[in-house]
Amino acid sequence: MIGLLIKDIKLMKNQIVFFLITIVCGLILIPKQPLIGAWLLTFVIANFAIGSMTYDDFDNGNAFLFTLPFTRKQYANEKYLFSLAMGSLVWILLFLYNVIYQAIVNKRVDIYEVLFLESVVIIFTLLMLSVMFPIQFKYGGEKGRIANIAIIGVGLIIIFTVGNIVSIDSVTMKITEMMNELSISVLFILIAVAAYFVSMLFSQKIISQKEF
Amino acid sequence: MISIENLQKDYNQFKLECSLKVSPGQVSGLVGQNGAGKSTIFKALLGLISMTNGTIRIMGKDISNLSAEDKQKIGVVLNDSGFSGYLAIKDIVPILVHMYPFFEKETFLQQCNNFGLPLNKKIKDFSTGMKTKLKILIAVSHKASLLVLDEPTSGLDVVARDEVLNILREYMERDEKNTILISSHISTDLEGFCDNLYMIHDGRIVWEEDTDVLLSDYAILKLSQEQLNTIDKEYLIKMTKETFGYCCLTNQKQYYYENYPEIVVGKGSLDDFMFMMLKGENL
Repeated sequence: MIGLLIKDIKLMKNQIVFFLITIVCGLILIPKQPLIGAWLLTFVIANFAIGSMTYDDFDNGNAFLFTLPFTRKQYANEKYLFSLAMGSLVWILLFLYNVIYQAIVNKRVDIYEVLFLESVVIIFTLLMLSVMFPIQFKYGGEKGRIANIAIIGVGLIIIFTVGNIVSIDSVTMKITEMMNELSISVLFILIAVAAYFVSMLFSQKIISQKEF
Repeated sequence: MISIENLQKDYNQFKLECSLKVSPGQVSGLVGQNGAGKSTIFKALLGLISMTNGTIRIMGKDISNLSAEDKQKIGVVLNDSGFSGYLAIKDIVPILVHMYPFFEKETFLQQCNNFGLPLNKKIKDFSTGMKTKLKILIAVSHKASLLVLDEPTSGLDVVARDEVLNILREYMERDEKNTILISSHISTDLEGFCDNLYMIHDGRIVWEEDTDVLLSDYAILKLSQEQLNTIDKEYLIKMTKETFGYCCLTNQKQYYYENYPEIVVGKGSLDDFMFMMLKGENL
């Protein structure tokens, strides 16, 4: 498992510039367009997790990879773990950025607002990956990646469309109102975590039946 | 070490049906034309594809029950697959350190240096020969007791092929129980290296023989029509029609040397024997 994680981290270096640019864009957007900023960060996390699978598949690499000493179940688990690690990294960055931004610009830190954004990113990310991972495990390589990029695109279109109809600010307010209820926030997070876990079980099943 | 019993794999236009055994300390070769089914056997053996039927055991264990620890004892080279081309050797080393408890890091790096493999260059930018050497070095670097090598010499020039075979000879000398199953469509690579050979054709093992027996007892007889009519055909296996007469494959060279001194008994190479087995008529 550790060997696989090291492999993914090493492969991640190939996308580091894209990673940093998207994170900076996300952080710039967040104060003015919190939902789009959060979505962008979600996209970064998802793209890296899925991207690592595309790298594995490059040039029929999976055939050799699956002869190495790990089980298929461990491979699936590692991808979900790697994504969680990536997500946590972005989550910590986002938290620090928000606190520092508010302290400097607003001269005060609204911890509820920070946690709201953090919750949105966590929920978006977990739900997004819960859908994307099984698709990537099933179709693999570029086919899966294209399907997943299409999902992200559709997500963005929905957000923009809803934003144009209702205005993003009102959607943000509405969600903020809902999420301000701690119990609702926690409920959403729990649902997202459950979806992530169920998705992992699906992916284990898919990868165990795959031929290389 | 390896036991394949009644392995069956059905594809739309291809059916594999075979059994084979590789004993500990043995080098077994699998020869056959492109598309004969060699890679399918390897993929089934390594659990990369499902089987329609049959049983495969490695080190006494059914392959469906192989644990990560069991897989640590197996070194693999696949002709068309390896570590991601986006990694460099320096990236692979820590991966191997964590995957294989017996990974010999210093020896591996030394051998990479000996073979002129750059540590910082991405594998996708390596030549075919460099990629192959790297795959072999990885396979022999972690004290595996079994090497499964699918076409490891494919695409290599004569010098590189010799270097690769030397690495494998050194591997076999390290421990008497070390075992290799190797495939190639370049049969001369296997002739001087394997203890026994399996020939596969159209998804079936059509011939199995110890290399010593092959080289000492097999021969190609060159016969005229008259000689063919009069010769004892009991030890003739296959026959082809040639412009000068007939070529016949025998597994009793000495018998024909002694009893028919007038006929030409050609020593023949593994390629010749393969050709006769695949294209010759039964007698």
